[in-house]
This record gives sequence, structure tokens and C-alpha cells, in this order.
Amino acid sequence: MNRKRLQSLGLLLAVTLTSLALAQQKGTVAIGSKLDSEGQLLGQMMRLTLEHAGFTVKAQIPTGNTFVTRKALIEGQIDIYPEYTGSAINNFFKGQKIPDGAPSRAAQSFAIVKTLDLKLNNISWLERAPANNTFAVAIPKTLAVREGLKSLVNLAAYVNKGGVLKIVGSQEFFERSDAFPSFEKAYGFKLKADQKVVIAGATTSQTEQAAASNTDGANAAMAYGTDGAIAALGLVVMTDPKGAQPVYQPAPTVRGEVLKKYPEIAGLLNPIFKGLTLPVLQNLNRQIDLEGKAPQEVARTYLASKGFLK
Amino acid sequence: MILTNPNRIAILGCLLAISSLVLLPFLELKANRLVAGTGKGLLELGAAGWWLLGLLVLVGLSAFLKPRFRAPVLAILGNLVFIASVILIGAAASSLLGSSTLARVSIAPAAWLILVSSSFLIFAALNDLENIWLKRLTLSVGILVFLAILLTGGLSSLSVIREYQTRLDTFWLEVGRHLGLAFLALLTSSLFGLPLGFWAARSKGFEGLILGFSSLLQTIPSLALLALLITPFSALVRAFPVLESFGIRGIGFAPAITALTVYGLLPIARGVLNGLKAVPETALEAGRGMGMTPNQLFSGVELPLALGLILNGIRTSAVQLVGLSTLSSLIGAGGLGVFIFGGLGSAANDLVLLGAIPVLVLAVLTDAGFRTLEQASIPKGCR
Amino acid sequence: MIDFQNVFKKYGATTAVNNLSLEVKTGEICVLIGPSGCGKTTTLKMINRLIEPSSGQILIDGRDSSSLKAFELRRGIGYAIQSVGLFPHLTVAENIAVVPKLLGWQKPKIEARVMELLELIGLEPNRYASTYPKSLSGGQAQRVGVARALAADPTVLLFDEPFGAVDPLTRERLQNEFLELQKRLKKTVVFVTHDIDEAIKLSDRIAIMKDGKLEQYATPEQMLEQPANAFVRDFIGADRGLKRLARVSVREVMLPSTGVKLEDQQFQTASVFVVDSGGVLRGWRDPKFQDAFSAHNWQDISVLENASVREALSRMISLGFQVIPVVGESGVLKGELTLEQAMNAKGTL
Repeated sequence: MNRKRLQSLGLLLAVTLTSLALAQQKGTVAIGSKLDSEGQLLGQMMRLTLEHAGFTVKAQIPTGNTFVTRKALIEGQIDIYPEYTGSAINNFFKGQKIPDGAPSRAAQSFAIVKTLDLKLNNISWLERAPANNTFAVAIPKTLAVREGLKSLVNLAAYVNKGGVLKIVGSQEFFERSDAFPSFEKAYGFKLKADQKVVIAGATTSQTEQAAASNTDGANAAMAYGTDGAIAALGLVVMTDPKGAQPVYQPAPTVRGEVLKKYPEIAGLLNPIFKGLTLPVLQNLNRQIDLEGKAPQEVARTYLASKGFLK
Repeated sequence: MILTNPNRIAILGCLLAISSLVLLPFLELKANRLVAGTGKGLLELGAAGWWLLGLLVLVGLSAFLKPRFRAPVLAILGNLVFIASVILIGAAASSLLGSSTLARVSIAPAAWLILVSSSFLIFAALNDLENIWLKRLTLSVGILVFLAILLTGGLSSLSVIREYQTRLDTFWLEVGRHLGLAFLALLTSSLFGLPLGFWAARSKGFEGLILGFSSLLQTIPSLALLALLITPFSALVRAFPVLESFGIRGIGFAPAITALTVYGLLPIARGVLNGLKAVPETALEAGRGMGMTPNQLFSGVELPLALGLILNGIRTSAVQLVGLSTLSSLIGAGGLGVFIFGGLGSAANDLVLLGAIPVLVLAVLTDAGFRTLEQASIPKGCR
Repeated sequence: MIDFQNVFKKYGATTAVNNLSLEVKTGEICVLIGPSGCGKTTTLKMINRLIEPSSGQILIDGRDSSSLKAFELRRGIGYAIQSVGLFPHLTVAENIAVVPKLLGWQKPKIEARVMELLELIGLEPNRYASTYPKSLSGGQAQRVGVARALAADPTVLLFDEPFGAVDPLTRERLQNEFLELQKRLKKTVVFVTHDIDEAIKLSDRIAIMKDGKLEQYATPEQMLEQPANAFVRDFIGADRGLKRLARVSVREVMLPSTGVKLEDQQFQTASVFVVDSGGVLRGWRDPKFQDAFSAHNWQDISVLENASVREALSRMISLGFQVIPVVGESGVLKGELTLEQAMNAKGTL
């Protein structure tokens, strides 16, 4: 080996060590996510943000289903991942007493999971996104404007005075007591059998498509709140002021030790999640689900456009 | 008289192709990635469809030729049908798509069936062809032309290719991970499976125990197994942090390979057991009687005679592992399952296909590779 | 010489071999026979220690067989078994070469030995050396099995029903060939069979066993004349006179003859056998039928010179001949055997 090569090798080594040392200064954080595209999108946002702030990020996106990802967090195999309040209440705190009606109220359910998770598992919930990704009813915007329908209260009144409504959904949506029947119960209306179009195993994208194109006379659809297709198809979501459905708001969940060591993480992620309103998330999800863009690309473009990445 | 009793495979393939062309949609046009689409028959897609139909009628007629004429004609026409339909799929897809960015075109039943039936035609020709080089040529022309069309972007309007293009940066990474997982798992499965099979063959009591145990392992639901492994691996890494520098963690490669090994074990152990049991008792007695030591008997008689079945077990395991490695994505180890489960989660069938098609191709290639190895390893005198 | 001294083999409560003392003389063929389960195979396998005796000693050429390592002992003893046990993944040559290889012979020496043995068993070396066992006929495979046992030129051979799995005609041929071979090689052979005819034909001495015990150990002649007890008499069967003829070869009692040539038209007073210019049997001429030449394949009308008189007799009866031509391997006429000569044969073995 000649001298010059030795020198350049030494230089390379020095650079590598320096960058390692620099990275070491900020520390290493492992980020995970669940399998769904919104989970991956949020995970990628957190990865890009922390990397930009100088952290070394070990990304494990996606990590697995709810159970696997949560277990990885508890066992310290990942340090942070986005979780939904409703999902946490349903799955993580089985033995705990949850006040009636709390799951349907956004602020209250967030407060519950935040307190319980910190107390029981030393896991911190950072700022949540003001968007609810739960079962919802979506109707064409034209109908909403013409009849002045904004919430399920308006919709129930419309149906009860004989307004034309035919809703398309999956079997599960119509049969599970905490899905459509809970809307009927909370808002005091009842659809006849011929007002429901049941498609076994239907996805929300299929039902939204059917409602948008008036298939079989359908003019309402089973939907998830943050579905990307909603706006693209000219649909709007009826709000749920009485909280018939548990609230599913996404927020970063961080291991307490990690947050204690790097408290700046909260400051980095909170403004981002604060900005993820329902229309914003719908739009980002649309880019992934409808346009087929990769989650990390959508995340990068969004963060850059908002000035989080420079 | 050049007519003879017709080649049934060719006629079957031809009828299948013609009826599917007439009756079923050729391509599916979807307004966006998620919604159900509307089928488009080939004959709605312009004059080219009629040409393909004509070609198929020609194939049907040629099935009645004498084998000597029939084989080359079928070989050429079969490949022509295959290539023509691939080109047609690409061209029709791009014309259907127009300039829409949201719309997707995917392959519908008629196109799948016509691809399948053209391979029927090619296989019918292979049956009749005698020259080995002609056989190879017949087999490879279609594949090569297909690859050429694929690589030059002739199919880039298809939804699966669209998915590929948007995930260009991660696709090959995941393919590599997938292969790495399957290969490493095969290695560890062999590491444990080969000696287990050997012990099972040596002792009757062990045989039941080992087969029972590895069958039991196979029945554990994969998702449950993956989740179960997080805790012990995490504890292990906490106890010996040095392990982490080898990439061993509670999630990711280590538990994934452990789970895969559990599933890959049985076929290998069973292959060794069956192979050793199939060695004729008389050969063993002759070897012993001539003064072979146990080691000489094993390496000189048992191993060569059992090798075919042992490799058969390894092949079964390898093919299974290529498929099962999709599960690794459920525990953060990546692989092609990322696309499959991601697609299933958001009901994006094209994304599912982006994961499933490569898995299928890898499985077929793995199978073919090991079969070749198996054939080569069977002693000449036993073929 | 193989010397069994008070040998027992017990499996739990059952005794497979019960106090066996037996001496097999050097250069002799000792046939072990008896009904199934009598202990004959166990006895054979104790010689090369595929089965270890429970007590007693087995001396081979004066040396205690347990003083050697089992696999070393076995390499010095030829072994051939009923279903041949050729290794299917090895060629004929490689099969024969197994023991020489185990003994570490040099390659040229092994090759020469294989060729020599293939010649010896009548398989053309160039044609058969590199073929695999599956393309051999049953008889050929048995021959290769014998050649493999002979490969390292052991003084002792153990044969466990080596001709048991072939058809009767092939078996007789293999037996005759084996006897010829033994005349030249003079090995000490222990041979297990359940076929009394085979035992009488091949053996110098027969050891007849029942329930692990030796019932009689004697030459076939002695045994045929003076069976030691009712069991031995019953086992041999009724036709003891006929069985004796199995011990006499046709060559010993035939009348030498070369026949008359095909082109030789001289008038004959009696029926004559006709041969071609190479001396190969072609048929016969009979003056009773206007001296007409009756052509035949030699295989259909003759008996081999190394066949036993018993075989010749049975062939004459089935063909309806008073006199049968005797030929060598390639069909060359060697002599003729009349019914009278056959019945008067006593044998000189």
C-alpha cells in the first residue's frame, strides 16, 4: 500500500469517526410505526424531523401490528411511535376504570391515556393531532350544502323529516354495536333495510367511491375520518358532536427514559402534530393511498413545505 | 395427409384463450388506486384484439398438424401469442390511462388467462420437440422478450409498475432483505434440522420426539410466534448489550430469523430422516460386513444414497421460507411483506402485487435452482 | 480354519445358538443348514462379528476373532449376502474395489485386481466395469457380489444364501461356476442355505442345525447314508439316492465324443450328434429316419459338462432322451451321457 492511499484512508477514518462522534452527541433514537399508511406517514415525519435535528435515527418503519409495535416500545426495542388514543383505550388499559363516555371526548380520552400510560408504563404521550380517524358518515358535498348538513345531528333531522338517504357500508359497519347502530342510537334516527347497501368486506375506499358515484342510489358512505379519498371524491364527513364513536387521535408515544434524556424531542414533534388537522391528514393520506406515493416522500414534501425541514 | 389426432394441450390452451378473450375483461381501468375498476374487453380496445384472435384461431388449426410439423409451428405461434399479448397489454394500458395521474390500469382475468394459455401452447410444443437446443430456445425466447419489454418501459402504464416506480428506492432494498432473511433462515434451519434428522434416523424414540416436536412448532400461528419472541430477545439484549452490535434486538432480523427457523426445521429434518431410512438395509449390511467403520459407512454409503431426499427436504424448506419471509415485515425486519401487508392494510391491491409477484418469482427460481442441484446430486447409478 | 468352541448366543431368554462347537477345515466348504430360526445365519454372522457371541470363542486360523477390531477382522473375510447388497451408487468396478480401497491398496493394483476378477466371473471387463448394478441381470449381480467378496483375496469366505434370489436355472449355473472357482481358489467357505439340494451339491461338509443346536456335522455322503437322527433324515427327504447324484459332475461319467461334422455325409449305423466346423453342437442324424439331419439350438438339447448328473438326469427325462449330448460353455460338444451311465454313477468326490 503506498503512502498516499494510506493518507486518504486515514482521512476517511477521521471523517467517519468525527461524524460518528457528532452523531453520538445528539444520541440515537429508534422510531417505529404500525403497518397502515397513516402510521407509516407519521413515523416518517418523526424520523425526518429528528434526523434533521441531528439525531441518529434507527428507523423500523413499519414495525408490526398494534400489538407488536406496542410491545417493541414497552420492551425498549423502539423509543417512539405514533399511536391513536382510541386504540390505546381499547387495547392497552383493559383492567383500568375508564369513565363512561370518556372515549368519545377527545380531550378527556387523551388526558386518560396520557396519565395512565405515564403512571403504568413510563410512556409519554406528546401533542396529539387535531384529527379524528374513527368511523364516520360521509356524504356528497352538494347534498351537504343544499340541505345545510354539517353534523350527525343535522343528518338525523334530515332523515327523520323524510329526506332521501341511502348509505353504503360493510357488514361489520352495520352490525357492530359501536359502529353505525351507535350513531342511530345517539342521534335518534333509524334507517330502513332498503336504505342500507351492505357490501361484505368492503373497504372505506369502495364505499366512498360508491357514494360519490351514486351507485345503486347511494348518497352516504361508511368512512374513516382521515381517509384521503374523502375530499378527492367530493365528500364531507359529518361531525360527531355527541361522541357516539370513540375518538382516534394520533400522537407520538415516547419511552419516558428517552424523553428525559432528550427533552427537546417534544419541542420538535409537538408543532408538527399540532398542524395535522383533519383536512391536512386527509390530503396527505390521499397522496399515499390514491396517488400511490411513498409515505416518506409525502412526509418529506409536507415538512419541507411547512418549513420544518430546511 | 398431414392431419393427425390433435394435440390436446394446444387445443385446450387455444379454447381457453379464445373464450376468455371474448367473454372476460382484458384490462381493468380504475379511477384511482383504491377503488374497484371497470373491465375492458380486448375487442373494445381496438383492432389489435382481432389480430390476436386470428392468431389464436391459427394456433387451433395447427394443433391438428402432424407432430413433426406441429411442434415448430406451435413453438413459434405460442411465443408469438405470448409476446403479442404482452405488447398488447402494455399498449392498451397506456392508451386507456391517457394523461390521468390518479387512474390505474391493471391486468384483468382475460389477460392473465391468455398468458397462461400461451404457456400451455409452448409446453405443448416442448412435448413434441426433440432437439434440446430447440427446446431451450423455445422456452427462453418468450422470457427474454418479456424482460426486454419490461426493461424498456413497455409495461410502465400498468399499475404494478407504477407502484414499483414510486417505491424504486425501497423495492430492491426489500428484495435484498427478503432474500437475506430467507437465506439466513435456511442456513440456521439446516444447522439445526440436519443433525435433528440424523438423530431421528438413528434412534426410534428420538424419531417420534423430533418429528412430533417440529410438527408442533409448525402449528404455532406465525403472528403469535413473532410477538412472543419480542420479550425473550429484548431481555437477552438487555442482559448482554454487546449482542446489539451484532444486530440482535427484540425486533427485526433476530426474532424474524428465529421464527422462520422454527418453520423451516421440519422439512429439513424430515428429509434427512426419509433419506437415511430409504438406504437399503442390504447395502448397509454389505458395507458393515466388508469392514467399513461407522463413519465410512455414513460418508461412503448412507450419505450419497440419501442425498437426493435430503436436498429435497432443503428445497421444500427453502421454498417455504421464501414465502414465509413475508411475515418478517410484521416484526420490523422488512422484506417484501412490507408491500404485501401495507397494501392489504390500505386495500391497495397493486401494492400487494408489488410484493407478491417478486415472492412468487423468487419461490419459483429457488425451486428450480434446488431441483437442478438435486438432479445433479443423485448418483448416476440411482437415476 | 474356523474353530467354534462352545459358542452361545442368547437374546434375553431365548438361545439362538446353543453350545456350538464346530471346526471348518482350511480349503473346505462348510454348509450351514436347517429350518428357519435354527441359528445358521446367527452362526455365520458371529464369524465376522456382525453378531457378537454371548460366550465361547471363535478361532480363525488359530487366532481368537475377538482379539482384532471388528472392522479389521471383517476386511480380512469375504462376505456375500442373499440380496447381493451391491451399492447402487457405485459402478461394478467400484463395488468390487471396496475392500481393497479400505485396505489402502494402490490404485493400479486395485484396477488390475478388478479386471482379473471380472474375467474370473465371466463378465467382460471393458463392457461391465463402468456399468451400474441396476443394469445387471440377477445372475450377473450375484457374480459381482461373489467377486466383491473375493476382491482382497481373503482366506475365509462367508456366503449368506448368495444364490437365493435368482431363478432355478441361473442358480444351477452359478453353483456350478462356484464349484469350478473353488477348485482353483481353495478358500475356506462357510455357506448358509435352506436348500438341502444346494447343500449336498456344494459342500465338503454339512452342518445341520435345529433350535440353535448342531444335529449332525458330516460329509454329504455320510449324511445321506447315515443320518444321525430322525430329524436329519426327515430334513434330507426321501429321495436320498437321487440326491447323491447331485455330487457327481457329468464330466466324470460321460463318454467323450466329438460327433460328426455337418458336411460329413458318410452313412451312419447309429444315431450321431452333428457339429459344425468349430465343433459346436448343431443337432443329430438318425438312420431310422432316412438319415435325416435334425437341426437344433445346442442350448435346447444338451447339458453342460460341469452340471451334476442329477441335473442331466432330470433334463433327459424332461426331453425324453435316452442319451444326451454334453457340451462346454460355448456349445462345443465334449461327449455324451446315456441313461444307464447316469444311473450307475457313484461319484468319486
